[in-house]
Amino acid sequence: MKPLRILIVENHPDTVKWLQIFLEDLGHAVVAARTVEEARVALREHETDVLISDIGLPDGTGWDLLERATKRPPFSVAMSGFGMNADSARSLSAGYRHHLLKPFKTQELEEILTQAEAEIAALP
Amino acid sequence: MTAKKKGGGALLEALERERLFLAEELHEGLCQSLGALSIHLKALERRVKKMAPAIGNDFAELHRTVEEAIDQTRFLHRTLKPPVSDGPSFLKALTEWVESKRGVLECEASFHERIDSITPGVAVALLRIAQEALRDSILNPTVTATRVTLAVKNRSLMMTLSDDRKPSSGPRNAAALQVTAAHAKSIAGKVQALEKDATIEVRAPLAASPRRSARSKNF
Repeated sequence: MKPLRILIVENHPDTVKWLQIFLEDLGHAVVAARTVEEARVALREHETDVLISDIGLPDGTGWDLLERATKRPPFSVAMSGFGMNADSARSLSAGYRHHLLKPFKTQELEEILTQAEAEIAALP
Repeated sequence: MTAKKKGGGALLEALERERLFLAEELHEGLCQSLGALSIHLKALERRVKKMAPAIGNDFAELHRTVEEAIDQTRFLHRTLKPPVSDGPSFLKALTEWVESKRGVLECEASFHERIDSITPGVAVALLRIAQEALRDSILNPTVTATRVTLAVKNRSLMMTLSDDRKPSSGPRNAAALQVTAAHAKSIAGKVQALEKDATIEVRAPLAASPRRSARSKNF
């Protein structure tokens, strides 16, 4: 499989650091942002295959980020501690393919990325 | 309204506030740290396995332990701040709660009907009542089995919580019963203890089904 270009948006320092290392070890190219504003800049400046974004961010929500993105990545994953059905539905309506409940297991993320790899490889 | 009744409502509010506070603390602190630790260990496990497989396996074991801690923390978070907003999510949360106690007691749950028309407030209150009753059963040394049933009767939801306690084992915890009564009152429901406290029966009003209301208007 071709390595994915991944943008992580997360403001918890340890999570973002180790998530980046974890994904890079899997062979992916990773850019990290800590706020909605940083993520908007990153989306403009970097070609992104997969967006993995926290929902609760210091300057807004991951929902706003994706809904207002001018250049949407082909595959997006929300991460959140909000576990109500309505939160999950809100993520899906914003354009996320999955709503990953935090703290998630690495296996859950790997399965989602396998799906992303297959879908992105099939794109024209 | 009497001072006692006002006090019951205030006690419930204080309990819920405390639970939400603890849930937030748990999520923002321990949950985030465990999540980061799990990713950290998995990354280390992968790196070390290439150089020293035996030590890599030790990391794998540590990683599994952290993932178990994540499961436990998620459950605790859901107990403090149940993700219930409607009938199906209430049934899911109640089933999970009953199943989590199966290792301690023989627990049986039977839900005869789908419950669609239930407000978030009723869902949370009924879940809290079930939690109180099950905790009380666990604390009674004579109890070996419990049963939770849900049924719809006359536009009300009937929840029955029973166990096989011995009559000589004394009444249910008075404070737990007070909390249960306050929860029932908060949703305009009724609660009664039967068979020397072996059974708690709660009747809660169901919200009118929007579809049915619209149809009756048409007729």
